[in-house]
Amino acid sequence: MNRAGRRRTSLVFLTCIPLLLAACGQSATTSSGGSVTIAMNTSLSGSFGFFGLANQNALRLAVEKTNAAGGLLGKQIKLEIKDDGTKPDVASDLTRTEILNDKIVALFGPVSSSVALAEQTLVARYKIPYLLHTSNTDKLTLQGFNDYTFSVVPNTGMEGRANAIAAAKLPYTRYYLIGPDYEFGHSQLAAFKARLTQLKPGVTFAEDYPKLGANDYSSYISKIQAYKPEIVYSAEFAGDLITFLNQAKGAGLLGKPDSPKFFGLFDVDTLRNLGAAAPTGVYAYGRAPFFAIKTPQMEQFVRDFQSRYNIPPSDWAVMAYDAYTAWTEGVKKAGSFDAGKVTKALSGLTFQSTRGPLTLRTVDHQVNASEYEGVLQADPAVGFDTFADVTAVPGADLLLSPDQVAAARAA
Amino acid sequence: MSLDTFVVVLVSGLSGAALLFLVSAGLTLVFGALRLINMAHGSLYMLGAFLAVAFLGTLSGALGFAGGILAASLAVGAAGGLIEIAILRRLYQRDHLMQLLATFALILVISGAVRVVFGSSFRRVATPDLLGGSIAVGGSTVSVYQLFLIGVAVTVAAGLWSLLYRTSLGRDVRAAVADPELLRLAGVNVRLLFTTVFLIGALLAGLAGAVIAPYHAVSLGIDVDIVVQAFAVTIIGGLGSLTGAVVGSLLVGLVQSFGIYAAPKFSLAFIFIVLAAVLGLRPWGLFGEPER
Repeated sequence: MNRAGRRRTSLVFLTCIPLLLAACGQSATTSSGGSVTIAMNTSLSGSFGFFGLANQNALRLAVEKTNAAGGLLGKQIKLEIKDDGTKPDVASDLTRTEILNDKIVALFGPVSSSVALAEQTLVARYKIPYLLHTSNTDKLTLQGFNDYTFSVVPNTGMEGRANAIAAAKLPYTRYYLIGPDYEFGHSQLAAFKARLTQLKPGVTFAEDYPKLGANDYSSYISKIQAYKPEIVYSAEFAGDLITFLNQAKGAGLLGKPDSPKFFGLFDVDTLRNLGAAAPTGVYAYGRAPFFAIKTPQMEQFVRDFQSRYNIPPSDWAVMAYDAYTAWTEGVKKAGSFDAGKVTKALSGLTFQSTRGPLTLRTVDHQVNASEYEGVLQADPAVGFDTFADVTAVPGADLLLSPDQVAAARAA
Repeated sequence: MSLDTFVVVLVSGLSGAALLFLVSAGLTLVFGALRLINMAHGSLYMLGAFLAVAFLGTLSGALGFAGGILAASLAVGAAGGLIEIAILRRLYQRDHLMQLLATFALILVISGAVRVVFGSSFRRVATPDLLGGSIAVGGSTVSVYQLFLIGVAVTVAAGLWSLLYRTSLGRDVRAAVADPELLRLAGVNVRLLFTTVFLIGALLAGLAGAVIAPYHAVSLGIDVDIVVQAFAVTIIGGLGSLTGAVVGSLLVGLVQSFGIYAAPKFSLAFIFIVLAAVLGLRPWGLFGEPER
């Protein structure tokens, strides 16, 4: 580029700066006008993108409903959603900007637990209510806990314990455990193992942790075949689960009369994607499958979501929606958007979620949500497999006691 | 390890190697002839996978399956040709940093385009009945699709070898690897040659993505995942060497598969252990040549 051209370009940049500054100023003032801003940084790209998309769809729907009904405490809600790329450092930068420039009054959680742990330290420093709905490592409510963090999702410990309670009722004692090699997989499987050993002392385990997003499970599958378990318990999910099931079927580990049983995490998005290829008859668990939950709130949400997006809401949409409901109830109870007042109102709050009444208990701000257990069965009404023989393991049986919470934090 | 298990692990290792070969063959071919480090090679692979899901979803039967795979590969090949003409050919005279930046930008553009067109959810497509099951080999059960992947890779390897050593196009490509300037002076249309080579490389990436679509879930992010592995394989084998791509893929595929069996805790590290060992002994790769 010649010198004149270069000068022209820098002139263009210079003229842009005032515009940018004006834009910043604008968004800073709108919060104190007739609206307040809330934000969510979540995974909208990469292999976790579909979780974030569900989160985003649910929050948009929820905010539209609030605004159409005249707002919250008379204020319209502005929603900022950004892609964190599943990276803690990116999320931290976004969060800081949202807090300092956009003056947000609440932050909704991400998909990834490592992102959540990073955002969690920021919300404590700047005093912003923080509502988790998808990321669920129990570190968030144990070691990393602070007054501003609230979780409406059953955490990894609760999920593992719920599945152990369900598994203890089955006649199998020889287990092979498989889960993705990161925080969630390890802590969920550890909780499952600990509780099942307690309930059924004779059980034996072998276990493996393939990398997250693996595209070839065949070596693991041949190991499982050589071990000859009675049942395979899995914390693989979404694309990884589909890959695993597909390859397990190809290798004869699934679907034959002498194959081991299978017990795995099936969320609504995964079931919809599997369609007719779902392994009908296997044991399944899920965090918030709409078809397993009969409440008026869920019925209404499914109807709204379906008519807006033409698909039923996944577990990730349901829980993001519940997080928003919790926050609005907290604001109404506090009669203010003030962070101190809202967090005080949220602590111990019981609210009507799509999953029934839930309580954010004071000791760790963890909701007493159920985990849902069933058997996969074709369901012509929805067009894909859903759970039959559903049991909801009550949240009260899954939460740690206040002493256990204190012990985990001290450790 | 019993013999039955050995056979199963061996076949998984070979099928993993087959996929790695399909991807790294294109990468190494393009580097050899064009001296271009194509970071976006994995993106072409991802594009092939998503296109295959779209095509195979509407076609059925064995012919439909073959047609869908072929159509996806050809579409990616054509896209590759356009990319070479529109963007890459302007960069051959620039330094490598410029090429890295441009192909990195392509990663972002293609990933964004795939997200807009196909959405951010993962996709799957059914395996045709013919390839979906398993067969008994001795006392062990072997997945038919894995054998199919191995078959595709062997066919492609044989095809590439005949192309390079039995056709005039292949002779020109080999000459371009040695000295593109001299080739130009000899009256060969080097521009067209480069476009053709890049098109073939893209087609191979598309084919790899297409054949993998029925084997595992297709999602955003598989692009970067595969390109990292493919680069490791080509560096192990020697950048620009087809034999190197074959040997590198086999080495990584088999070490991965037997390694996971023996010491699953290190599953993420195997490929890099091999890479480090080879770089220690032969920094230019097993079949590469030291830079002159």
